[in-house]
Amino acid sequence: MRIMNSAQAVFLWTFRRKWKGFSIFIAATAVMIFAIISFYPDFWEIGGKAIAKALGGDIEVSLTQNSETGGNYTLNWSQYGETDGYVVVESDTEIPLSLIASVGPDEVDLRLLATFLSSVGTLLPGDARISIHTFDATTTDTTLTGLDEKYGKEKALVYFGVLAFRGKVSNASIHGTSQTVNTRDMVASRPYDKFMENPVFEAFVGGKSLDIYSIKGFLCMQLLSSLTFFIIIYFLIQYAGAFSSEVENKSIDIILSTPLSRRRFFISRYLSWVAMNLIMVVSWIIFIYIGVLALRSVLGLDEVADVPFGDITRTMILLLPFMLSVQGFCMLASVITNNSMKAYGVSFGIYFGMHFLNILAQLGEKLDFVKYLAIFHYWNYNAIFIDGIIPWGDTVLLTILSIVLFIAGSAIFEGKDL
Amino acid sequence: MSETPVIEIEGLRKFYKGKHRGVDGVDLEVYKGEMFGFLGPNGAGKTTTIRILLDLIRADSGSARVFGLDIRRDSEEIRRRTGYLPGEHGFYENVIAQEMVEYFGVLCGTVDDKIVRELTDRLGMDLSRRIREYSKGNKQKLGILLAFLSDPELAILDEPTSGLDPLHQKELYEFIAQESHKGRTIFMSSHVLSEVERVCDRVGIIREGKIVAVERIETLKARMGQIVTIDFDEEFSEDDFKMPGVSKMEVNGRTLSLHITGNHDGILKALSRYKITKFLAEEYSLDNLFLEYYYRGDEDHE
Repeated sequence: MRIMNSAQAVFLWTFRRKWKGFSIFIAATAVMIFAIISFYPDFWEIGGKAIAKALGGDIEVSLTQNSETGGNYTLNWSQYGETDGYVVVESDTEIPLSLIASVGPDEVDLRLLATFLSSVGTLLPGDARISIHTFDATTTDTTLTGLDEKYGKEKALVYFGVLAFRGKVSNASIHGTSQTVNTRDMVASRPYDKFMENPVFEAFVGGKSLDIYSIKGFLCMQLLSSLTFFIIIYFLIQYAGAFSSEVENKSIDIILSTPLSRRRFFISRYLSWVAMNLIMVVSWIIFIYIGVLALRSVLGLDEVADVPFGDITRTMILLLPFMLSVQGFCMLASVITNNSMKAYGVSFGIYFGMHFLNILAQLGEKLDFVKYLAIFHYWNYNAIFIDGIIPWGDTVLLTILSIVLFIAGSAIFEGKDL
Repeated sequence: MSETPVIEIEGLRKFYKGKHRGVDGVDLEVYKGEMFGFLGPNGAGKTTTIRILLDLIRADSGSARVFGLDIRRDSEEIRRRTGYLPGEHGFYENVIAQEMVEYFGVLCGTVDDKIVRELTDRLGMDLSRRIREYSKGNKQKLGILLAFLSDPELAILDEPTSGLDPLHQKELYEFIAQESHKGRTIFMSSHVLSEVERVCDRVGIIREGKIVAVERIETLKARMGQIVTIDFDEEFSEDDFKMPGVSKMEVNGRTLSLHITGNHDGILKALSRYKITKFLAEEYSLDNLFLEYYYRGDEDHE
């Protein structure tokens, strides 16, 4: 007795075949979501409470030129009550604030911080110089002399980052920043905003400035970035060999010896994946919301952890076009070749290549255009989640991309030798 | 068996990636209700031909029709009326056989539970086990069950007994023969002629991508004859043994080998003139005949 047609059978069969891996993935993401959210109270306690406020508005860090010549300046900053001291980081290249901030709660000493900043320097031009000075809690300014001599008169920019720390230098957190524009023309107003334009920092936080101590900033920085990474890895594993492995192990011969058309097989299978994506998205909405509710009700972070359900839902729904595009690339690799190892290689190559392009784009204005070749550029979760923006352009582009990949995959699968 | 062609292949060519020969100009006709053996060694082009017929791969040139339908344009309709046993099994190993049968049944679209029960009983199968627990013989039976599940008009079986022990081979041939008697057309590939001679009406022999012979089994059998080996105790003249019915002669010192397909009387009379130390007569097997086609092919090439 027929209770379903062949398309429905392929849909359900695909779903069933992937069910175990899919369930494990959902469970793993649930653990990750709850683990990351549960870390937030400590994070907020350590870094956010006192200093987050300073990050939100104008940072009172100013740089004053003392004389017309010689590169003599005074760096001045406002005092914080709960701060036990300050670290001033001086560099001739913009300082990746996110990396400095991430030193935060770990047990590190100043030497390690310097090493860390040096390693940060590897992301910067080869001749970048960074030096660090420490001050006690009562100090609010320092005189800088001989900058012209040190960096050269032609050096356009010298950057300063002022970090406050509590207890130990290792607890240094961002206080504020300032910079010279050049040795003659100095700008110290709204240095924090200026700092947020740092492309390396931008690469880390997805293209938008964010306060990493706020719940939303924290979720973007820790959770959504991790989730994006997990999605890519899972899709690569699950879908890069989806068709090629069936050709390789000959199961496709049995299935397509029936009156099932290749197109119907392809579409049914694809729809099954789309259904799984929907389940993932719904699950994540629920998991994140439960996590946030737990923060608010159980841990009493009512004011701090205020994340509306709508914001979570909107972000997760807008994740779908990105997921479908990633899936589309994997699927395309899987139908281009009948060798599953090659398909995995191509898929991994595409993603690591795009990731590399994304980093490359941050290293200089000349290379900025390459970011448009990376799919990650169009998944701007910070703008969606924090600012409540729906980036229609990116969303439409990702949707079109996923449709194009689907049509291309279907056409190739229909025309090829199996 | 009627003279209505079920499979018609003309000048079929397929080169993988444009250079590795799959088939190189196959011409063949298989008629309704017949059981056709498609013979050739590994790599001769049997599986390529079969997979082209099922539209799993596409020919570079030539044409093929099944049930009078174009294999590309009408592939779905052809597959609706055709059962297929692949040469290599690609079952989903972790699933229970019953689930695989149900899934396959839905894909075929016309499966009756009674057919499943009947096939299961006849093949003596237990469908409640996971496929990975099956022996090779049972996997082959499952493949056969799937091939006949939709009650097909044509069954294409690619090396159905490959790797099976003689007992399983016998069981499968009996099953296939029974199915053939129901009026189905069976197109079966093999690389052993003696295996298919029990069940097939005709055989086509493919060598290096080309059909080198299509014969009725009876015709082949008539050409089988005997191999007679004689050790002489004295010098002999080959010319004494050149006579009608001797198709092949080999001389090695005082040893003479003859392939005799006709009457032995002339040979015995010729032998009576000589003193012989040994006389051995053996049936010329179908496999020898089969190999002969290949040697002949080599000679043709040379």
